[in-house]
Parts: sequence; C-alpha cells; structure tokens
Amino acid sequence: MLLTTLRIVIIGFFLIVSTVHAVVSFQQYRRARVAGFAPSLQPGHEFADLPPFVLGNKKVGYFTDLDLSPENYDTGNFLSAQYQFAPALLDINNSDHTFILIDASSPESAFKISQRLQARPVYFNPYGKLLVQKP
Amino acid sequence: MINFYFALLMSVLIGWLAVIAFTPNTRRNFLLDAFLSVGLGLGICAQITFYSFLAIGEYNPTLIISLNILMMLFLFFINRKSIATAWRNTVFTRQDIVIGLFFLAMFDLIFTVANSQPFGQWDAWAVWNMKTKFLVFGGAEWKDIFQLHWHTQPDYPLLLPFINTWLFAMVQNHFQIIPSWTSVIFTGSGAGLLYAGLTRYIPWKIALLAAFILVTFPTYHFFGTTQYADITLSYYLLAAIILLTTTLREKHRGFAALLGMALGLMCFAKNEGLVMAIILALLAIVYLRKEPKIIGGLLLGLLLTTPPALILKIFLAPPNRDMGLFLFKAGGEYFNLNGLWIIIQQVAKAILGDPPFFLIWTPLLLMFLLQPQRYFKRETQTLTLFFLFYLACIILIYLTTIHFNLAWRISRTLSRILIILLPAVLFLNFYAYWRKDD
Repeated sequence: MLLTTLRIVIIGFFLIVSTVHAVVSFQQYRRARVAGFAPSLQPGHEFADLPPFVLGNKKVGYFTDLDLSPENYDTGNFLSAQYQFAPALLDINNSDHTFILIDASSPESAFKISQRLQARPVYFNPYGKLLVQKP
Repeated sequence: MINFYFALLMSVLIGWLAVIAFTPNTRRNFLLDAFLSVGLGLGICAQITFYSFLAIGEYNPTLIISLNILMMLFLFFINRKSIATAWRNTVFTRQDIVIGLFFLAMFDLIFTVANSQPFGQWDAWAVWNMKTKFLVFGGAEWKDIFQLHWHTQPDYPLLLPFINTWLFAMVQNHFQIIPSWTSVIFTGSGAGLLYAGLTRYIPWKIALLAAFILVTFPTYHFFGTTQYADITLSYYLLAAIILLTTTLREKHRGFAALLGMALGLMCFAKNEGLVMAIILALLAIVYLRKEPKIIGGLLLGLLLTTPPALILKIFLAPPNRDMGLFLFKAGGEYFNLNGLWIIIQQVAKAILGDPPFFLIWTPLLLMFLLQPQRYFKRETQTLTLFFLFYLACIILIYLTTIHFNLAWRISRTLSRILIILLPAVLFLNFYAYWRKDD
C-alpha cells in the first residue's frame, strides 16, 4: 500500500513539474523561432584581427596587467585570446618570443609594458590590444 | 550540412554493427539500439581519428574517412551472417514509431535552444573547441595541446575534440557549428537512451515519464548545449549504467563487452569519467566474480576502447596539476572539517537554493530515503554503491582543492556534476521503484 501510494505521489509530482518545464521550454522555443538566429560575437572577437600577423609562429608571448587568478573573470581575456590564436600557443609573461600580445587595462598601460619589454609596436587594434615585436 | 548527416549516419551504422557484433541472438529494442549506436559509433569514430593522428602525426581527413570506412566494412564483414538474425531479434513496435517521433521533435527543440548560445559557454571556447582548433589547424604541432597553460586543462582527455574533428573531416566546413550540433545530438540521445534503457525493465509509460522529466528540463537543455564534454560524459555514464544493469540481470557476455566499451569511452571523455569507469568496472568485477566468462567479455570491451585514454594519459598529457600539488604539498588548505562544512553549505545552496534543481533533485533524494531497501536489492545495490563511492570521490576531490577558492570552485562545478549524474540517477530511481520483476 505504501509503495503504491508513493508511486502515485511520485508520478503526480513529476507530471506536474515536467508539464511546467515543458511549457517553459516550449515558450523559449517559440520565442527563439520567432526571433530567428540571433547573431553573436565569437569568443575573443577583440583579438580576431591579430593572429594573421603571427602566422608561422608557434608561440606568442602574452603580457597583461589584468588579474589572471582562476576566480577572476579577466582570465577570460587570456582564454579567449588563446582561442583566437590557436593553434599558436600564448606564453604568459615570457618575452622570449618574436611576437608578444599585450592585453592591458588601458592603452597607456599597454604601451608602458611595450616600453618595458623594449619591443616595437606592430599593430594596435580598435579594442586596445597591442601586438609588439622584439628586435 | 548533408555531409554532417552522412557522417552521423556512418557513425550510427558503425555503432549498430558494434552492438550486434556482441549481441546478435539477444532480444533488443529498436530504440535502445538506435540511441546506443549514436554514442558508441561517434566514440569509435573519434578513437579511430585519434589513432590516425598517432599514425601520421597530423590531421588528414582522407586517412580519417578511409579508416572509418574500413572499420565499417570490417564490422559488416564480421557480422555478415548475423545481421539478419540481429534484425529479427530487434523488437520494433508501433509505439516505438510514436515515441521515436517525439524524440525527433525534442531534437528540434534542443537545437533551437542551442542556437541561443552558438559558441557555447566559457569552457567550450576556453577548453574543448580551442583544442579542436589545435587538432584541425595545428598540423604536426597538434601536440602543443599538452603544453597549453594550466587554465585550459591540458591534462584533460580529448574524446569530444576528436568527435568534432571526425565530423569536421567529413563536413570540411562550418567549424563553429559542428560542436553545437554534437552537443544537440548527445543531449537528445541521452533522453532517448534513458527511455529505451528503462523500458526494457519497467512499464513503458513510466519510462516515458522519466525521459519526459529529463527532456523537458530547461536546465538540462542549457547545460547540454554549452558544448562541454559534460554532456558526452553524462551520455556514456547512462549507457554504462544501463549496460551494467543488463549484464548483471541477464548474465550476458555480449552486454558485458558493450559495457566495457562504454567504460573505455568514459575514460577518454573527462578525468571524472576515468574515476567513474574505475569504480563501475571494479563493482562489476566484484559482483560477477563467479562468472569468469562475463568478466572476460567486460575486459574485452575495455581492451577495445581504453587504449586511447591510457596512451594519452601515460605518454602525451601532463600530470593533473591539482593532484600533483596536493600530494607533494603538505597540508591542503581545505583538507579538514572546515572544507567539509563548505562543501555541505554549497551543496545545500545548489539544491535547495535553486528552484529547478530543487524540484528535480529533492524528490529523487527523497525516493531513496523513503525506500532505501529497494536500492540495495540484487543488482540495484551495485548501481547504488557506484553513486555512493563516486560521491565520496567528489568530496575527496573538493577537499584536496589547492589553487582555487573552494566555495567558488563548488559554485562553478557542482551544477555541472548534478547534470552529468541526472540521467543515470533518474534511471536508478525509476528502475528501483518500478522494476517489473519485483
């Protein structure tokens, strides 16, 4: 008797919850169908114009003044840059490469880092990402 | 995208041929064959792709396609006398057509949801799709994957990137779309597999309810289409749980071999899959210790699909940073009661504080607490022990957290773990309560 009662309660509960979920899902589906395909910016779009400058280079240095601790969302800058540069490797804080990507919080910081590295600016894109080249 | 459908069809065919190679004379359900073949086939094709990379050192679509065609022909050849028998043993009813159409409709819904996040979420482009770029565009330097910064988890296995690489080899275009479609396939197939696996042992209407719970769950759609390896692991875990149940109940060597194959694919999916596979394999061996032939079948399946994971882990990938740091650094910050308390708080917050998870997970846990004896009855106890052991492993992994804030880490990962486990937990709960032989 207890099992039968439990079964009925379980079925009833999940039927109600799933029906509500089905309605929510269907509404999302209808909205998406009406809206059509929503264009999205690809990850790391702010770095997308830089990889062509480093074609043929296996590794590119990466310098930043952002906080790259795992819990900080600024880590996404490095990760999205790595996505765009793949299959080239971004090497954090290593200046022993021909090209170095400087991803700073401001243009002033970016060019200060460039001067510290004694590197020549190659390209500074509209998103403030600076690509420099070591002599 | 016609090439994509052709690649999928080829994968399903390879998966189906692998299923009937081991179970030609066994009664099987058409939908179980179909949904099992999807994952097995894609996994086999991905592993063949991995072998092609090892063979010639770079991405070569001609070789990848050729090897997969050869595998298909090989499986046709070894099954040439049993295909007709296997087809005759496949149970195909009118309700299978209706329910099959229902799941096809669900694929459309999931696909539309997937379009709202065409590039997936964080780990999709930070880990999985980025690694696929290395495989496809890296040439001979593809192994630079294992030199990536630790933020990108270079020790992770590569089943999902190789599945996407195999599909890209066939399509030769739409690099951004393929991972999205892969995630849709696994999300929908997981729900279909849940129904098909349950209906073998419980009334079909109850099995449909279980699948309905999963396939209408918006959070499942969202996490399933993030393009993470979580959904592939969720699928293979469910497949392994179903095949383990079938093996233990029917004492069939063929199903044990398929179980071994699913476990091998889990090892190649994620590090967590490796842990799960080890627990499941050990439990299966202990439970079947008086059936050496069936254990032999299990080991055969493992032999077929585990080598890629072993090769990657032993010869290619760097060691796991978390484990290494914990083992060699004395006294982890969270390996104490404080760490345990943080875990309990975060779990309570995740389940009780999140309405979608609360409405699904709380009743599932209550089902266990109200009738625990049903979960330790015969072969069900093996499944229950798996979840208890895995829970202990998760707690241990969290307690050994070294270079993350523990509360942050749990908040970012727990909901994903709950989604990975959900289909398998649904199977266990509905099986325990409604098994026909009770």
